[in-house]
Amino acid sequence: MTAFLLVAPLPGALAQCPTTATWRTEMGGSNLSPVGVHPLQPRSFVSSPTTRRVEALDDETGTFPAAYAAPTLGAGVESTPMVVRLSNGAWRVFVAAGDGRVHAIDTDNGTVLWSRDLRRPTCSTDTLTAPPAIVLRSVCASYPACAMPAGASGPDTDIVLVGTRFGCNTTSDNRVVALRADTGVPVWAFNATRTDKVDYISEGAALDYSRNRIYVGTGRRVSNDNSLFALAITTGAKLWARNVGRIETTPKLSYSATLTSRLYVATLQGTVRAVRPDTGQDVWSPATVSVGAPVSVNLGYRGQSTAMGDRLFAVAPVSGTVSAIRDNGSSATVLWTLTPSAHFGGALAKSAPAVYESSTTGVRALYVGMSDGTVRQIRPPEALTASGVTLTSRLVDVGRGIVGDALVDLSSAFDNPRLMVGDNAGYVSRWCIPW
Amino acid sequence: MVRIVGPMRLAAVALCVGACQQRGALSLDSAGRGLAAVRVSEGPAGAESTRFSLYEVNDVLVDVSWAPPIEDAAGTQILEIYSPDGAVYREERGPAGWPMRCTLPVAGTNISRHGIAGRWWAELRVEGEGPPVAAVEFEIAADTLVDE
Repeated sequence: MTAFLLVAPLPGALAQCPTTATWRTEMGGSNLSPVGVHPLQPRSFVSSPTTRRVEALDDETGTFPAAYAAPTLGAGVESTPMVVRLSNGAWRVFVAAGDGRVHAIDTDNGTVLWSRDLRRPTCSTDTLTAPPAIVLRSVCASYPACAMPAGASGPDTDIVLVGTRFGCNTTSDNRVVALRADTGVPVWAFNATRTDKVDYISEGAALDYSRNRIYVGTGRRVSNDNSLFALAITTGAKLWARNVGRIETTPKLSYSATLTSRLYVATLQGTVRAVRPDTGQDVWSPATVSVGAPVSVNLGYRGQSTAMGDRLFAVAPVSGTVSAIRDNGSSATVLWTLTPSAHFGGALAKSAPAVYESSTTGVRALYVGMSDGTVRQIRPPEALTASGVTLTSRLVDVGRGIVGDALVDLSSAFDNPRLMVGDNAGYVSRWCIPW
Repeated sequence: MVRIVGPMRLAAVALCVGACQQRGALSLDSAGRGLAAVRVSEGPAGAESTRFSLYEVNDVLVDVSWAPPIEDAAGTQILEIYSPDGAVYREERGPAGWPMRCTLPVAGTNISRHGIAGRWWAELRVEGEGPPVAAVEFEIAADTLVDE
């Protein structure tokens, strides 16, 4: 999963970046998911499946704030802690944990304000691995079609959406649950009565305020079941569903100024497709492009500029390749694929691509975590062929282990962009970019 | 956290496994504990195995047992599960000499999302008492998915 932020650009040229990290902090456990950040929050938040703690780090120094006591949860956390400033102005970190609970944590002191257990009474090993998605009332109010649930009454009540990863070998009983952000009280649940067959949900929902809906992908291990669902924000009602293959990444809504709106979906089978958000019908003909060996595919999409509005970037972490895809409108083309043997010195691309784009300098770059402890910078990502890119490497993990999903953080200033990344050895580091 | 380069660690694990097997089923160590064993299986009640599919298995269960069972435990036992790149991916702690289980979720986790396939291993040690007392290797395999 990738995340990236935008703030208003400031004038000034990019400073030269050093070849070493700004800071590197030992967290004590695997950190492969993106760091949790917010442009107005001076701290980053890190969770781990190893340590079970949700840590805070000072953005500028990488140190642990003295006033924050990191909570230890019942089990490890696989996904990004979601940092949110709620509609009432309060700061929270929401975490979906392996103990099957959603936790709301105070960003100032680490107090767990509430926990909601989503496990079934019949299965103590039910877990949560997808990060929560937060629907803000203050944002919903800006869209005529958007309507908050009746159970989330009050002028400032937001909702937290979580997909489950149930245990005990179920492939059909998973749910999407909406909770009040202030109390954790459930507001609605999709598939609580098991009318649909829903396999595990491993990544967060894509929010579509303009259509009052969310999009959720599932791991769909039974071949005839649906794997892509559109649900109403207001009620959780199913609007449409399709079987598009097995999904372990968040679907991505397009924001191109030139293409009609579409939802990009990547599958474990190694395909990428575009569907209409209103109906779920395919946009491309042929419906999919293949990015190589049938493995997990991650998408990093940036649609704000005309140079990148039609581009997607995919990583296949078992074959270790990075591909660029161009959306031609009614079809798609794989422009280039970088491979371990030809481009990475044998190292495998392992993590979701993170996209950097400066509106002041025109500089664009792609960052990918690798299997050899490095992050590779690929410039320019909008190149039409593999021979048109330049690769730069930085050693992030001195033990040369797997590097996780990088995050491009623009919240400090447009002339001081930074890359934040964790690794499997237990460190989080911050880097000046571009290289 | 101490990490050892992969091939050296695998050799150490093999040595540990061999040494533990030679101790005898009913022998007691100097702390009064029995022989420890670490086994892996597919959750929730699958058969013991050492190979699992990256895209199909929900959970890998890593179980610690002691023979004979110990009632008055002394010390802390630590079960560490290592990923193929040599990192401690999961850790479970409990009183030494007691049965213990660590669940390693696979499908839909960072393991499948980052394609962390290959040779994994689990080691059991007693805190402050030197090398592991039991270990097991297992494989998480990136089996080819059927395209649809």
